[in-house]
Amino acid sequence: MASAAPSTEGEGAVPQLPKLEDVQELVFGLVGQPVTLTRGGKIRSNQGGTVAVYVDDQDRLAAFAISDVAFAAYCGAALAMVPPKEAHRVVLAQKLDDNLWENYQEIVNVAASLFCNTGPHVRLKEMLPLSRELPEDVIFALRRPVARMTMRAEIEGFGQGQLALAVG
Amino acid sequence: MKILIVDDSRAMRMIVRRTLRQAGYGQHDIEEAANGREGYEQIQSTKPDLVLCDWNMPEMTGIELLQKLKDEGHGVKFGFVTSESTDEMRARANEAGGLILIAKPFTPDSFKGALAPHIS
Repeated sequence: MASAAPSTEGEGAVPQLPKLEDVQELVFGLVGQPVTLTRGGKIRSNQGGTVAVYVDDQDRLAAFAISDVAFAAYCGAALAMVPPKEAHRVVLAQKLDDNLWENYQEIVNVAASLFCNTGPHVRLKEMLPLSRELPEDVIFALRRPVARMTMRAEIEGFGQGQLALAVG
Repeated sequence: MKILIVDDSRAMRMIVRRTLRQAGYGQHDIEEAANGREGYEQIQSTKPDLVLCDWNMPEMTGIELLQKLKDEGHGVKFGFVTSESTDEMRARANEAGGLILIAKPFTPDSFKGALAPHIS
């Protein structure tokens, strides 16, 4: 008996991972600098990183965008034309300052649309520091066997970072 | 031409400003306001020709701002730049006199396509 294709609409539907090129196009459009994404790599250090938590219309955890401090800092800096050396300083300190945090948060806010292309509507609930103790439901959701894609990112003029998307 | 960007996110105001420039509208006078209330005050004082406004904001939402302007008979050209773009929102925007609804994420081309009929 053939199994049914996963539902993408209505009650119980889960969002789908976006295509790599769609992620790249969205980030490029927001930061205003060429961004090259390639699959692979791994977020080596949680220090200074972020996890964006997305929920569906029933407020259920639906998707996540996890970044290391470099990806968040370089995107946040490029968006506001902050000089690369300032962004490098933040990466070395492993802590986003308020401006870069706010800038990057806007990127992950708009990135909610990436998960809505083929699945149910999701929206950003919050962005949390990855180094802090995360809420139990978020930890539980991230430990479940959900679909993930991890990407290496090169933000032109700034440097390399890591981004991972997860749904489920 | 004077364009007012109304958005509670400073980062998004920067993105909209940059996209306007990339779409070829960099020569216009571009101003910013951080919420609907501030936008309303700025519309009264600086009299922009076009308002590009977020939908969800503290103090006063974008649709509340547009409705207030309509109620007062203000004729400023008004468009939304918003994360959400449901049919219901489009209908509400149209009903209140909104000319444009641009969904995020957007590109310079999508900006140009939406704004060209309304920018001299």
